Amino acid sequence: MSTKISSPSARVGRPIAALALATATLFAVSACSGAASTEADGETTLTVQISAEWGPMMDILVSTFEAENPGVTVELQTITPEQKSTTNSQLISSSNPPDVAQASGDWRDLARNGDLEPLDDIFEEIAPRLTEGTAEQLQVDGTYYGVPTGNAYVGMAYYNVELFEEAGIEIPADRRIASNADLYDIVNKLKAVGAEGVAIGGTGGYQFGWLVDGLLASATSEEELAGFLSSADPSADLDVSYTDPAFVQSLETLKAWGDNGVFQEGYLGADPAQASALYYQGIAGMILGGSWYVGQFEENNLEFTSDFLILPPVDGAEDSKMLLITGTSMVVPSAGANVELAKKFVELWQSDEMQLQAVANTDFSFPNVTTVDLSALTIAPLGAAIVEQASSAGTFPMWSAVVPGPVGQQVIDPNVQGMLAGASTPEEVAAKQQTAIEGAR
Amino acid sequence: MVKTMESTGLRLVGTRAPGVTARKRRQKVLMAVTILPAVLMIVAFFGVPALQAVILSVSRWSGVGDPTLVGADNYVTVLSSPLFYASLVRTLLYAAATSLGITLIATFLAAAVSSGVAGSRFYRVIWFAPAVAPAAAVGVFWSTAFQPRIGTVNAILGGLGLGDDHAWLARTDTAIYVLIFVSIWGGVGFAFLLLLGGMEQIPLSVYEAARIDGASALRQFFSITLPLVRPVLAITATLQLIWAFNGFTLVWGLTKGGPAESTLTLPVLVYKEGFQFFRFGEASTVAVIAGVILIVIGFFAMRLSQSQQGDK
Repeated sequence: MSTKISSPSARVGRPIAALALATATLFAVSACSGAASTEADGETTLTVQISAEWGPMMDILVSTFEAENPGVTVELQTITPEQKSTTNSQLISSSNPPDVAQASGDWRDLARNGDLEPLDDIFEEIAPRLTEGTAEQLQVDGTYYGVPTGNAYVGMAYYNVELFEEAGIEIPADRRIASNADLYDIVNKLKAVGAEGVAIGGTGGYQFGWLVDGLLASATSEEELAGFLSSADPSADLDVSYTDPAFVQSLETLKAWGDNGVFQEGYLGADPAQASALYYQGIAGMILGGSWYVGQFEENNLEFTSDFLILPPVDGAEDSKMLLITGTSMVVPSAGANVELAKKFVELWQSDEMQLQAVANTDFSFPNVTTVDLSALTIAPLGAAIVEQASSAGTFPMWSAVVPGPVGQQVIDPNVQGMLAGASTPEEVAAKQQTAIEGAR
Repeated sequence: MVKTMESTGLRLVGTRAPGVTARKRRQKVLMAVTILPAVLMIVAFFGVPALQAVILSVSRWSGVGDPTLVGADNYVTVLSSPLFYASLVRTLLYAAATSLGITLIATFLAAAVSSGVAGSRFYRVIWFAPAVAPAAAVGVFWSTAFQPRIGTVNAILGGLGLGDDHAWLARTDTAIYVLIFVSIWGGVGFAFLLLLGGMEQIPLSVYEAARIDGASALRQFFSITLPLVRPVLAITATLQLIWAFNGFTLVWGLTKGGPAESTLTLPVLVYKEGFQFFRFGEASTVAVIAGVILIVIGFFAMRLSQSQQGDK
């Protein structure tokens, strides 16, 4: 009779092999597990992407939609501005996108690739009510794909009223800082009382673009500006060049602001949240912002009063205005689980009731439709002042919001940051922008 | 009865009993089947993505629709780009400085703790603490800490009369040093634990013998401790170099590659090319080239480590 004697290596090897097999099996099983279904017990979950500051608006919109659609739960997914402009395109074109997404990157490519649901059917009723200049920003090749979140105004400089009084700064009657010299005077007076000038987030990736938008619009005629706005469209003639004097002068003005200490110390290394912190603490006398900042001032219970001014135009120009943006466009991914429900949601968003109650009266933004009863607006006085300024003085369109991000904002902002750091000249930045636009065409 | 080799249990030199050969074959098959799922996982989650990256590196793709093969165009573009070379040199210097700093500091700390300095148990925990903090949170914290007027670092310097308006992150000549500092701060803990483990493996009798022979503590450190932990030192330095070379989160959280691309490392360049400019082909090209460089570095580091062990 023979006796089997196992070798020492086999005695050690078998348990190890068994453990390895079990571990690998565990990984295999976990990797194969699918995503949670949006339907459970007859309930439907509608996923909607939002930004962090949309809370008060979405509370009203979501509760209204859920009340009108029993059995539907709206799940909000917060994304950052950075996620929106970078990885969100891949999410939208994936097989598991949210039902309602924030338009991202060059979303027109997504539309042409069939990743977005056409919305012409719901725009039959909405289109006639849109504010002027809105429709074109929502269409791709004549078909509606985007829904605006509301009109917003950008590029104003909010200021600390009490600090300005302490510094002895006289406020212009029409809220416009007339010239660069006047701007430097304001900043110097703020510094004389120990405060900083205009707080700006240099690493945010978009605020330098706002400044270029305003300066460029002030430096160009309507025709020239239209040329810049359509410069990335291959089907449009390229009648302007970014090396033209208007664009270069805009950059030179911005560089002069930086060289003259208009912005806070260390602004090139600060993000927008850190810039806001300086303003909220009363360290910076001004902050570059948008109309939605009004709601944030309320939320943060500032210990001082805020008002706003319009930054000066390029030297020699007379006109300086706020910039109008239709806000982020919301889109409905074609591969979403609940396409028809998503279309109902964005359609509700454009109703007069929601434009009034959710968009405007929460101080988030302003209605992007013309049929809202403006007398029913209960926005903060500062918000009302912004609307009044826009109505009386008009607004400029935003170049960085119209030109696709990969050849617009994503190019100009870091290049301006480099220019302000002394690494390049305005002419070099202008040349880089021209190269980017030519590459896109 | 005729005696055969089998009946006597004898066999020719160099041969195995028939049962042994079959058993070994079964063991080999069992081992192969056992590790097959793991191999499949590695192929699926490392091999296939790596292959896809290589394919994408010879394609043009904006993230939408199908990629288009363009041959070596992306490689020509990247390898003739001054931005790529600047970023490569910057990344190598950043990784080398970070690795060197971490290794030196961790060695010093490990030597102190293993020698039984007062409070060793406390130090083991406190010096490892930064290593468990999420990189994104570390980036946010230090980004704020280095801000003028409101940052912790400037507040401390201001209190010491050294001024509170230093804007290191806003200057092209200083932002990279902040990055190196923060990277070292975050990486020392793990390296410290590795080296401490290596140092505590050294038999005390070796130190006792050295003490009897009149060797000072410093002499013991350089003549006994360092030589005996050299393999661990080599591995630690190599790992830290690779991790710093590949580091994205910290750089993005602190500077996003700015100001003026002064902190633009290769991982950040890959991210920007792919997710900001939607040039995924060129982004993959940079990633493939960076991967090859790391493989070469790792290869030489392994050879160096093995040769040192061979010398012993």
